[in-house]
Amino acid sequence: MRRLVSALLAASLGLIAIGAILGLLGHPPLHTLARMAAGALGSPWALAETLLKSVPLLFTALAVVVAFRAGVWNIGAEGQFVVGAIAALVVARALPAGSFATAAAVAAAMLAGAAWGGIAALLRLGRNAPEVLTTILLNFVALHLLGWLAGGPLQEQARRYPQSDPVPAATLLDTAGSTRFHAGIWIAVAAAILVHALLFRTAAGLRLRAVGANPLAARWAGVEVRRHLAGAMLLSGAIAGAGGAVELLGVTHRLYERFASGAGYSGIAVALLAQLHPIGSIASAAFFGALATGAGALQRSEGIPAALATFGQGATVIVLLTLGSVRSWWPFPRPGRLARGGER
Amino acid sequence: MLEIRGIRKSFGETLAVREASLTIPAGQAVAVVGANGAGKTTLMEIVAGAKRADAGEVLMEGERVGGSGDAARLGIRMVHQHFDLAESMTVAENLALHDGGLAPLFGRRGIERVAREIVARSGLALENLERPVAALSVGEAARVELVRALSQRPRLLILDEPTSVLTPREVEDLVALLRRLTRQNTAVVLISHKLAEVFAFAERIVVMREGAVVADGPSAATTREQVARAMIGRDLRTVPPSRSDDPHPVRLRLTDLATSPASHRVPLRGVDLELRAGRISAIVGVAGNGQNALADALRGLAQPSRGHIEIDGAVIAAPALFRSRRLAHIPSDRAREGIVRELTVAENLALRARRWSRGGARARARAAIARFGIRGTPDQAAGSLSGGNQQKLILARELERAPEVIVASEPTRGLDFDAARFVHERLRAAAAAGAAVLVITSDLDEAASLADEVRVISAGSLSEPLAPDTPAAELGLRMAGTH
Repeated sequence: MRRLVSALLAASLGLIAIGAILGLLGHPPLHTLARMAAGALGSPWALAETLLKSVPLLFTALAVVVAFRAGVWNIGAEGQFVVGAIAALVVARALPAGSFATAAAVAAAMLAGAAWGGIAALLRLGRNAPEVLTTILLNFVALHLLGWLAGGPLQEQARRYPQSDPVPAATLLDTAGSTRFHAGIWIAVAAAILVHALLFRTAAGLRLRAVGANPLAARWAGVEVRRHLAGAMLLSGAIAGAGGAVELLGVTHRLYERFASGAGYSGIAVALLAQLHPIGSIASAAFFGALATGAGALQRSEGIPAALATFGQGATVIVLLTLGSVRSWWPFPRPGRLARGGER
Repeated sequence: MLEIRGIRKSFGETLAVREASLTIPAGQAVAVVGANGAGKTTLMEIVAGAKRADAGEVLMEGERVGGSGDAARLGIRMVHQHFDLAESMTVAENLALHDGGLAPLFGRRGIERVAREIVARSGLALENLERPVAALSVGEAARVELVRALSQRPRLLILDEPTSVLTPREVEDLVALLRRLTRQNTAVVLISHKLAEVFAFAERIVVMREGAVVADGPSAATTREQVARAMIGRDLRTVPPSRSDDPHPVRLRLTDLATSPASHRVPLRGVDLELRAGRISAIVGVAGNGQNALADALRGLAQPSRGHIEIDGAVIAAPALFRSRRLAHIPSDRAREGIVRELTVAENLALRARRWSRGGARARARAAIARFGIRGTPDQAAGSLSGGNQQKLILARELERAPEVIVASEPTRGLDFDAARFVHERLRAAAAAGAAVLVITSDLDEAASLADEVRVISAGSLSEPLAPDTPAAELGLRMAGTH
């Protein structure tokens, strides 16, 4: 309950910060915020766009949730997302078009994402290299790999732009009516429910959380800490990779250099706002998706830079982190203790 | 000098201190005794400004103590049971960090100079200031804390269970030191539940039970039995130790086991040890004589540099040991190594389970709570249990699967006698059911009452087995060993 309150508080303070910036830039804050909300939620088209933007965020957030819950600091969702999309494109174009190719592409993306995360896991377990560093560095490797592929081996037949040819239409995810809303959202929601079930309904999830909270105690209780660290990293990479496939098959249909556009990093903000809760991540991803869509609408109608969304994201996370430290000196009596490991 | 008026404090729904009022004059030696969870530590943390009371006030020389800043300014110092030291920093850095004042610290030497001044001011001896705190034994860390507190020349010194990790000789020294302090007009409050040292030290005994002061009077006018009864609210009963002389098969054998000096400051230097089914062996010693190396070797953390470990006659690689379901380990640092504080009681109990469902885990937790008398609920965070109940939780988890070998490090440290007796009963029951039990302890009474044989560990070597009724003086001499 308290975690929900602090998440809502952080989200609203993030919006207030956006309002303040708008005011400083000379736009009437309330009015502009209202236009932003309308741009994100005001029409079926806007709503579809918001949901569309939140799908990759939900995947990367789930990847972060799994990793952080196990005490693995995977900052590499961006890179895993990208290699997932690359693998999906290769498989989707190699196989005869159809729903089997769709499934195979998503599976290949998960394997590729897991492998990318696996490199960091190997370095951590074998050489004790901190995964915070290795995953960030692997992001750059993945982005440059994508840049090279898009301008080289995977470039379109026409050789005009640094981008791939599109995935055959029959392999793409179904879309609803004239909007860009696609079936990938159901995959994302299902992933959230599965991650929740894994973390809170299975022995493996329990051990994963124990390793994250106190590896020493988990070890003496018979948990194989290294295996769980590696497992969390692989699963985290697989989820991010699936996100890359869904984005490719649902939205972009082709690969190009700026394909990921920071989804992996935004996923960290989404996961933190959701207090590392898989189901909470759905709402949190929708919030950040709306922020991005709304900011995009403002850019079109008012000429306000869409970087506003990134600013709002940052402000929200800062508020959230501040709230965490506020708790330690909050002078008023608190409601009953919370078990962080419990399902809250 | 110190006046405590009507203090109340609750944590969530738990009322830790119900109503406590107390006056302590300068230079008095006071013992605050009570069972685990009686509220003694909480009350004293409020006095030291580390916690905020819900109601009531603390006055020092008529001035209100509102926070730790006030407490420090007014000369109130508290040494906590769980130390406030930065583990990765050296002893010298820890001392300079807290009490170095504004003097510039010129590099390592400057820090050491300041630290040595602090040690000198405290009137205690402390060597090897360049060691990292993480490498210290609990007893040594306690000494660093004491040095820090005394160097401030406090007018009121509060010690929370300071002796739980000290040897009898160290306890005597500490009591002598505290008496010297009271003669210099420093009031000393000792939080304890060990009645022997309470009577050796205190002129006044304050008994707390369930968050309230239930008895308060001069120690000369009371007896141990009266105090004990006030603490637990009923009469004591003692259980005779189980002794039997049947032939017992060897469960665990260490042959010439040595560990590397790189991993432990005091490594094992060729240890032979046999643990037999149904028997309890105790290893006693001054903290920092190789107990850590032994426990780590047994739980598979330290790779032996020589010798080997056998279970039921089969040689076993050290890293495989802690994973083995046949070996149970009860660690000395329960909050850090025994439980996962953030997980619930049910989840902690289920950590070893192969399958997990919330309903099943809750049901099993309820059963364990009933069987082990844990005061808590299945869905409570394990970290919110009191120390005694955390230990019961660990026992419940570790003993549930009927292990063949049990290694318990300081199993009753910081526990009150009810909880300690319960732990002893469980270990005896496990031995009676056929387990080989090894208790590594610094509490001679525990070794004497629990074990079938006692060995002394000193500088990484084990003595031959001794009878459990070996006089404490003799054990003490052997513990002093080569020192």
